Amino acid sequence: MSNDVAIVGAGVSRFGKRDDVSYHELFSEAAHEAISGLENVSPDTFEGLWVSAAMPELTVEQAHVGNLGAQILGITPKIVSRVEMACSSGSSSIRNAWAAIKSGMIDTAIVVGVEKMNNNPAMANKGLLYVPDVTFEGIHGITAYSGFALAAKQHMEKYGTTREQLSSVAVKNHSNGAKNPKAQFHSMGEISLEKAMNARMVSEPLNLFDCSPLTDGAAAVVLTRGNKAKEFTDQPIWIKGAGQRVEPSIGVSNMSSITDWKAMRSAVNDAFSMANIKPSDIDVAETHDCFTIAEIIEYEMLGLAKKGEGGKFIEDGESSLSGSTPINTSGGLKAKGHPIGATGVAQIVEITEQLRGQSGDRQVRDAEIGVTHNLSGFATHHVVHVLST
Amino acid sequence: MKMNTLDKPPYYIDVNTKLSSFWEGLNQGEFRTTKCKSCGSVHYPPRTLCPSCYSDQIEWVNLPLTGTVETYTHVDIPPPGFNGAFYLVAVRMDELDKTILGRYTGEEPKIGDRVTMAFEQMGEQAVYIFKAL
Repeated sequence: MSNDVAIVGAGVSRFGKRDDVSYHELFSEAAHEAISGLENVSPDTFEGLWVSAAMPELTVEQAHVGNLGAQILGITPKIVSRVEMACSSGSSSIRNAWAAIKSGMIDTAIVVGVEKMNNNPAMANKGLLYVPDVTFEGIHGITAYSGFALAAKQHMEKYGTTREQLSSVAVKNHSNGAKNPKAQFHSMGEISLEKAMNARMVSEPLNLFDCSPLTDGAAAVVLTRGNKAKEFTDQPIWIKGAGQRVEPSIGVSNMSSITDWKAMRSAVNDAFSMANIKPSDIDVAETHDCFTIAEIIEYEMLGLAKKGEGGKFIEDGESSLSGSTPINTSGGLKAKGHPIGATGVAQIVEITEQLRGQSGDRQVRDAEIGVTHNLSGFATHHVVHVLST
Repeated sequence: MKMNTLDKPPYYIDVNTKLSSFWEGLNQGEFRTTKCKSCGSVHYPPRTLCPSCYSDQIEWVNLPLTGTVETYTHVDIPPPGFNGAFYLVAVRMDELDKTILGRYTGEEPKIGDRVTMAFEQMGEQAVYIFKAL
């Protein structure tokens, strides 16, 4: 037991365009929610701090945000770092905290993911353009959306995935987001399939409703050694499995396939083996729906659908709130929003709340096993966690 | 579709370094990359450290300009530095057996189309684009 890792605190800010808060305040909003429900907490509690932040230099002109986090929390941790792995910075931070506790170095850590993008959308977009190999691929005009458009085109051609199936992912995630008061598009409510299908084209076949937005948001998680969990809460959630893999490729040139993500298959296999679960055991999952096609491919890589049948999985309603495996109950990156550094942490928060039965209108009944999947680049890097009650 | 030529590369790039032969090759209408003198691996992108055996002894090889379209997209919203919409293709290159990205000039391509590199100036530096073979 003493080597197990528990999540004891989890909090997330409201996502969206947050002109009402500074970077520091956004960080504080999530950290407060993660810490406030815990017993026996003082500044001495947090021996480890990871701040997940993809582009604060560009959007808020602030570097050294690991140290900034220590100031905000008033702590002197034994191990502290800022983590930047683009869109999967958050899950990478969780993994670092998990490893530090596993190693015996520390007992308790806090991970905070934060990104403020809407005060400077041009710089936020620039930050995203710096994610691929700029010298050898960026120079040819690749962007995140056109990279996933390449995957969508190939998946449609090879497996017959349809326009309706892509848009159905957006419709489902907006429906879930409408039930999440903290989602960026909460007030937009549900959207029709027609609206999603006929949106302005961004990079064919992906239109605006196939893409996640620019978001301001933060999320925080407190993790501790198993035998200390009860000191903080009577509702610990356990990290049962963890896996991380990266392709030897920062773009497409050394990737095994654009539509079959070997690194994700390996990360899933590592995490599921460690947790001793199979795909059918998953009660609820948050997966990285930066673009609708990504979620469809993720059904396949998670083993929920056979290769090429991800489109059918959404069409059959399997991933909806009332389906066999509800996916992205928070609204996902698509409707909850995608504050780059916060996203992977926010996924852990959503699953923690689901397993604790705290998800309100979007609660999955009797959820006991939940999975998170967070990726970066053109799906070259993946982190998977298995959580349980 | 005719592409608009760029006045300069859209990002900072180092061209006068150990890998300058790659960039000079593009200026001469050639597609070159590095090959490891120690283990024989052919790399792309070109490298100064072999990722197979970690030797730093490299030589240059000229590769065929031809390949097959693996997938493509029409980029309706171009990134900053690019003028107007364009086709972007992912091409499985002959001999190299890796997929590389480039803009495409011409009517809408199809998956499986045979294509060849053409060369276009970005200011002083040429880059490859693709066109139908």
